[in-house]
Amino acid sequence: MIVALSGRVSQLLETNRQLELTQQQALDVTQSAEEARKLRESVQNTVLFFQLIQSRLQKGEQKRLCDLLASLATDAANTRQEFAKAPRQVAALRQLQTRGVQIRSDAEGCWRSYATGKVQPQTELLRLVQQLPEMRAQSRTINGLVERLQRCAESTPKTASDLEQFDAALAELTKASSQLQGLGPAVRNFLAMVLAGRATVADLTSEVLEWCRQGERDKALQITFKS
Amino acid sequence: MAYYFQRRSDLKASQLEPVYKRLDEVAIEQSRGRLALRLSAIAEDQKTLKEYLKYFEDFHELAQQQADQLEKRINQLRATTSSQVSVQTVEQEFLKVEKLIENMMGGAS
Repeated sequence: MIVALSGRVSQLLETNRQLELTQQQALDVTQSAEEARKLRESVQNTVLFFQLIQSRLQKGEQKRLCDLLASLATDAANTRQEFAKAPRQVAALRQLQTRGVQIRSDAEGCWRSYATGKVQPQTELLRLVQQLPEMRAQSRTINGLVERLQRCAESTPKTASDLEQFDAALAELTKASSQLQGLGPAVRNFLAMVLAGRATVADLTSEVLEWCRQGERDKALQITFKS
Repeated sequence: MAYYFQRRSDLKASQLEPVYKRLDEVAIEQSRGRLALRLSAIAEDQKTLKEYLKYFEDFHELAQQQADQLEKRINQLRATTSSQVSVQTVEQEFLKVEKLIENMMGGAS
């Protein structure tokens, strides 16, 4: 009786060991599945974002991002092969996710650089002339456009519609500033000094004075004593 | 739950052989006088046998507890293991990642 019971316990221990091993493997597969799902979602978002802004990027940036994604795909394929041998690939998958996030972040940086490059020259010019009488009427619209564009540049577009809105706002801003494109460097420099509160009589060159006398611009400016 | 049975090295099968032999002799003894003598000397053997019996009972009880516990655990494991994610699901996720990038590269070039 004791011998039979001992035999049964021994058999149960072996069955239990096998099942625990199977369960551990199943747990490894489940956890790897969860991490693989997160990786797929992350890559999906990055690829969609890349495709959305691709045409706005420089060739060099496009190639660099493509190379990074291709390398990620190669390593994902290697991890898939490793998974066939050892189902616990959680750490490797998390590393791939981190790389995916870095690529996305890199692409967002490229977008911000592109958007800022487009918006900044327009806003700089408009900032200089927004106090002029002929610009006052449009001032609110222009500030609204600038704010919208800056938000777009910072938040990054999520859909083609976001991108279209950015383009439309940029076109509107460019149109608003187009009438100011003829401003010479001397006038721009003078306006920058005025805005900074550092303009002196010496800055009133003949070119600047001539520009000031046009329209009602002279009424928008005054000379004060230095404090 | 851990099971630990204290094995007693002082209890050996070789010790039981003389006890068995003496009991056998009692069983076949015909002479009343010699039987009385043998029975008077059997108290020590009885003590030894009780000790062995207790040892076996303790082992049996512990082994039975372990067997019961293992059966419960095995049933639980069988119930949970069957509801896990398949290997193919994970491989499909991997392939989707590779395909997404491959398609993108096709579109980008």
